[in-house]
Amino acid sequence: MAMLACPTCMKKFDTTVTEAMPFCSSRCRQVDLGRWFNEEYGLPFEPTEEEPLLEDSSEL
Amino acid sequence: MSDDQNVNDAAGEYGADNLQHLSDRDHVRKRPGMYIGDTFSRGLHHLVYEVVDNSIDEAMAGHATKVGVVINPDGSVTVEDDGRGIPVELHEGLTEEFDREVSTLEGVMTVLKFGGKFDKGAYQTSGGLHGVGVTVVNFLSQWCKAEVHREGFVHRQEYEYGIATGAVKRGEKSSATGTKVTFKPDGEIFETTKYQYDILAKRLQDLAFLNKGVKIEVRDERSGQTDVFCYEDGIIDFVHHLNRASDVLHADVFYLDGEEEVEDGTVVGYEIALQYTNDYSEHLHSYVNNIHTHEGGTHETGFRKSLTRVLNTYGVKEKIIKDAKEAPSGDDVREGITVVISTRVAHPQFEGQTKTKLGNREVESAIATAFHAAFNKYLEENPKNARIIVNKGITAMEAREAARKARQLMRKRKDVLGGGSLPGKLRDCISKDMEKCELYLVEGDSAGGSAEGGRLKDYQAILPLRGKIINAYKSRVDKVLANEEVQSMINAIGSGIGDDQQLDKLRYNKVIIMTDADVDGSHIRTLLLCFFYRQMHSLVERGHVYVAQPPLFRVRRGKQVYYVQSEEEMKAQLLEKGLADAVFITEDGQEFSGDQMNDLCRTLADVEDALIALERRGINLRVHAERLDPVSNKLPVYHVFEGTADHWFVERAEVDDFIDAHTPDEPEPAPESADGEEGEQEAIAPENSIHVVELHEVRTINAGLKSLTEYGLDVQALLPQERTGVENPRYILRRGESDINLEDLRGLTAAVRAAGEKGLQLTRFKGLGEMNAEELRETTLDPENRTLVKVTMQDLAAADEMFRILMGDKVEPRREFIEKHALEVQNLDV
Repeated sequence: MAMLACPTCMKKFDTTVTEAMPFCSSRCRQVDLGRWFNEEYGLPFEPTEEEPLLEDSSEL
Repeated sequence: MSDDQNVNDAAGEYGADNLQHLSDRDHVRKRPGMYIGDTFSRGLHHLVYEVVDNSIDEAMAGHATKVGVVINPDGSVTVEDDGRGIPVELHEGLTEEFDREVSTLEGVMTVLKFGGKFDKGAYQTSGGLHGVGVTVVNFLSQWCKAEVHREGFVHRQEYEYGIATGAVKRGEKSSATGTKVTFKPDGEIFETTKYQYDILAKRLQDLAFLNKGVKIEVRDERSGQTDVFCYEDGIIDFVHHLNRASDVLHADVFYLDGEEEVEDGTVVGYEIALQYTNDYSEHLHSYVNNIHTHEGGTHETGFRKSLTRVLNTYGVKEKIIKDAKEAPSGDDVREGITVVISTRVAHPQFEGQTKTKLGNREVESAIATAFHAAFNKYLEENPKNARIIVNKGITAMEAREAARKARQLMRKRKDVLGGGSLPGKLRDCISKDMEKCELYLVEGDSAGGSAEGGRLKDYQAILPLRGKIINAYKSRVDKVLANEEVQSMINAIGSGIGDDQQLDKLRYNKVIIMTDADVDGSHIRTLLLCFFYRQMHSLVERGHVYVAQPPLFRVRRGKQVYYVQSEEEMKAQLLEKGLADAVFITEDGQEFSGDQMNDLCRTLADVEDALIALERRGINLRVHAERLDPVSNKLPVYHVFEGTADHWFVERAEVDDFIDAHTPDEPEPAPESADGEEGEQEAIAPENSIHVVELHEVRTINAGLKSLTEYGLDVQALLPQERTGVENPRYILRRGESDINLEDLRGLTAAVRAAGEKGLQLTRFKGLGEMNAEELRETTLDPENRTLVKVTMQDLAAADEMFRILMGDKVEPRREFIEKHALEVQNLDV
């Protein structure tokens, strides 16, 4: 039995039992998928010459 | 009918004195379904509940403490309570009507709808009002016995097919009170007369929950099985019982009880208990006058509407719900809820297929109003639980949204498979031989262009991807994978996502992520890997995902061109080249060359990184050098703070001695760590407490210093010196004819590298887009020359923790993580 923390609900679950690796349940996987589609997963943007950080970021 | 014949034979003349009541009995026996639902198992068990309801009423009115139910060996059932006992004195009205002495007991047992009359007002909202009472039970029984302990004696009467076989007889003396009814269901009426213990026990347990404090004993004389149900906390215990196998989100159970007078002057009583679990389903049990309202009704409607409104209003007010227009729906907020609603209604109207749907309008508003006020108060007083509950609804909403989008997407994908178009940006390969095909996911449009020009068209497909800059939550600017990008990727790869992964639909044997070697590129790569790990798990599991390693440098040497992958490799190459023929000359005339020179430079390169780390802490090398321990030739590694004073130590043992000597005998109690969810509070060190900082990098510097002594050099060699009036340079790096003067040793390595760069033309690629098609083919696309790293599950499982922090909402840990692991993030070459 291997335990893993579910990326969505953070609960530890048994990886040999779940049918939605690497999630504890299909529901948690769906939640994660929804977050991808809603563009909620991001990493800090590093401004470059080609893509400078706009001054008024509210216009983005 | 034959049974009517039997009845008359058995009952003789006793019961034949009133045609109206006989016709009632006949009606019940001809159409039992109208009274007890059906004549199968459900109706059979219903008989018991009808009798038990009377006893429960007696208990709830405070006259009885316990109810006993026994399934007898012959299949009859006995229901007994210790209440007041059904009155046994003559009933004037019936006596007159029947023109003989008739007791109240006989009326209860044999006259339809008589029950409520004899004690009107006593049980204003009894379950028996829905039910049809013990009379119907008697009518549908082959035989029945009633035994009443009351007024010092036992009183008995017996019945056959609903008709009394004689008058109520006073028996032996008894100091007890109560009613005991035993009946044997009529096999002529029921398809089955076999009682099932589990069904009875389940319903009796529910009744015990619904009527707090009432003790219900059930026993099966056929098997010896027995249970006692008694719940002091009523439906709170019920909720605990229902949630016994679930993980609850908050330990306490919300509870509300009260009553409200409604328009017609009667009173609606209500009790609500609820608790959330991490389940996905809703468990709502509603009752009216102890009757399970399977089909719901106005009491449920009132509760549901009110729950959604309270939670969303609270969520918006507390800014847990960011946009009121996108608040969770009723279904969302009820995900994981366990709730019991028990109402008492004077004149319940039952509707629906099985007559288990409450129709009284006034109940809806009574419950909605009461619940709104009480639950809102609960949320205000329990903000931690409130947040958990509101978030549960938000998660449910997200999941619902996600499922909808995923379905939509899958429909689109079917169109695609049905011969429609692949994503417009995809430059697909010619071959359809999946084993040979590769998909390059290329960051940026310009790089996508180069890749398109440089690819091996037969087997390599290109899908350019761009990160999208968004204003994230908490005024953070983030780069995300745009929705359309994710969708094109899913469509191009073809093997589906989430629950719907079908590897046989995979269109490419290798999916290769190709991003720039800068921080931004590593972020895009991180996002893609995270997406594959979570949503295309089997793709990673089967080893179809790769990371391309485009070069960072192009090096020209005359007409020769070659590429270098990383900064480290480039530095090492330059050093090696610079070292050839180089001689290092110190002030006192020592010369180093060849292997010695090589070793010296490598030592210095190590020390340089450590020195930079030390200086980043704000510790100046010149100042720190003064703390050198002359005996061991080591710089102190431990910085010990004691109140406002500080001390430096080289060895851990010295630190320990110091602590021992400065710690009071009575150890201070450790400050209790707060159990706050954020864990943001830092333990504030009490005054005079000792705080130790270990400077790891100094160990590397010390090791370097040890090596330097072999060359007769010490820590001072790393520092520029005041050297007025001296004409000879301190150190010289000589290559052939040219001399480079150096003020201290720290500049040596860089000088060697700079020397190594002579004759070379170095180009550092800022991005893939700077490479032309041929270059990209030569270095990153051509299977002969490229470097691909296969992504393994172990890599990603370990990295998911990092994904979570990097992509999380919590700003602090994220910033800390990025600062701490800036280097690792850049080199996330899993």
